[in-house]
Amino acid sequence: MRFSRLYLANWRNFAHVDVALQERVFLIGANATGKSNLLDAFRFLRDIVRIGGGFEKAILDRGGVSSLCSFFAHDKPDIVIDVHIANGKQEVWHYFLAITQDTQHRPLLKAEKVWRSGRLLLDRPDAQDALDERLLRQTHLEQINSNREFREIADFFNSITYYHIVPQLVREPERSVGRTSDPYGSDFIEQIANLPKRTQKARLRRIQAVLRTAIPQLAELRITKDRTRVPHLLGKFSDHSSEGLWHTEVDFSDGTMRLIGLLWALLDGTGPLLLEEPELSLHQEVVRQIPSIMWSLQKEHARQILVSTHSYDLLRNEGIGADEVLILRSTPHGTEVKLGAEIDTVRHLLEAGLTVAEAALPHTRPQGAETLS
Amino acid sequence: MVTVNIVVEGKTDEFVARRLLEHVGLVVGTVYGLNGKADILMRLSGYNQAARFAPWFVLVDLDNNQPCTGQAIRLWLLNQQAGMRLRVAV
Repeated sequence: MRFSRLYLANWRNFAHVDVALQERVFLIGANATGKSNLLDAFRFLRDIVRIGGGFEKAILDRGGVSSLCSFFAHDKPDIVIDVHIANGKQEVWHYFLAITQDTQHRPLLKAEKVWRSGRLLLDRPDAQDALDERLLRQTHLEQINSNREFREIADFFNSITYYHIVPQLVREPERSVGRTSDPYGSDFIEQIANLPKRTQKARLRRIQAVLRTAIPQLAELRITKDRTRVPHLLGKFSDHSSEGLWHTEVDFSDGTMRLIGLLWALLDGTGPLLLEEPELSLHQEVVRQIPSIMWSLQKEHARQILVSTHSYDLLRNEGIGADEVLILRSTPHGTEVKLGAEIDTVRHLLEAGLTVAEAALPHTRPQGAETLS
Repeated sequence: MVTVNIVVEGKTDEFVARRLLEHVGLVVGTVYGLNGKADILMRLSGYNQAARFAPWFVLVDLDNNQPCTGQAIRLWLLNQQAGMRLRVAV
């Protein structure tokens, strides 16, 4: 399954967003236009349904309704997240969530609706909510006794993963204390080590195969544990004159670590994957290959990937289409989000044979950039 | 108000192009190029194709080893589209 449409109202930078989403989505925009905040709408949906999460916690973890509500919202302060979910080409689910707050600034559901193939399955607030307003502090989606008819949506949201590996955190000796499934990588090596050996080895072999081009001297990857049972990622680096030396993650370059993290993210899970600036620390030729790598790994799992980027090299990939790019631009009324295909100039330039980098990136240049230096 | 996309070699040229367009009451749309003349000439055919649908203004320098302006434009720009204005600074 994948998200096929996203509608947002009053969410962070955005007064209003309504875009179609493909299997691959590239988010481009100047700094502070809200690329991470757009991805956060999907992380928010996951936080609602994940174990230890929930509607109220997901909002409070983000500073409350007032922090989430768009600065540009005036007369309509309710926050809306509205997603359509497709299976292949066919749209199956539609989930609508409107959020408000009570007089004590506690998050409240304004509305929660679920449709399956156009048929309305849930429409809140309902009679029960009218009798007990506290019920509006939880979605039905997060409650297994209420979501039986649409648990598939909850499972789908729970399958969303977000990765933004920070090499320094992976190398930090005290890295994983108290953390699990950290998207920034503090327990990245533990996550690999905790997998069944067979899966772990198979994935590391896949990563090695892809790395053979980018880092030819890296001959092998494996997980080992030290005397204190702390797992480490070992890499065997060889050159023509030696059999090779084993190094731990501490010795890996930022680029190597990030590339391994990126490939791991692509192999880990089958639900939508959210990535932020995967190009960081990587050589431009490797960056150019990222969309193709994504495409080849994505096909195996029919997995949706949403990735924010500033990289000209990444967007030079000729396989990226106008309908796969979301262009974020600041306006006096909040950030505007448009598909590349919706902007005539971008579409015409792509039709003329230019790449997304050439056709769309100039649209993300900050206003007044000519005076920056 | 007519909006015109501009293609320039760099920031200095951008200022010049902006002033020229603003002087005649046109609005600058998206700024393309900013990566030298060779880069512009490589993509000029694409900008020209897009100029079938919207106005474009391309400004480049005439270097010493180039032919005269008229020849240069004919050499660089085949089948000039209605919305394309290529100007060469001499």
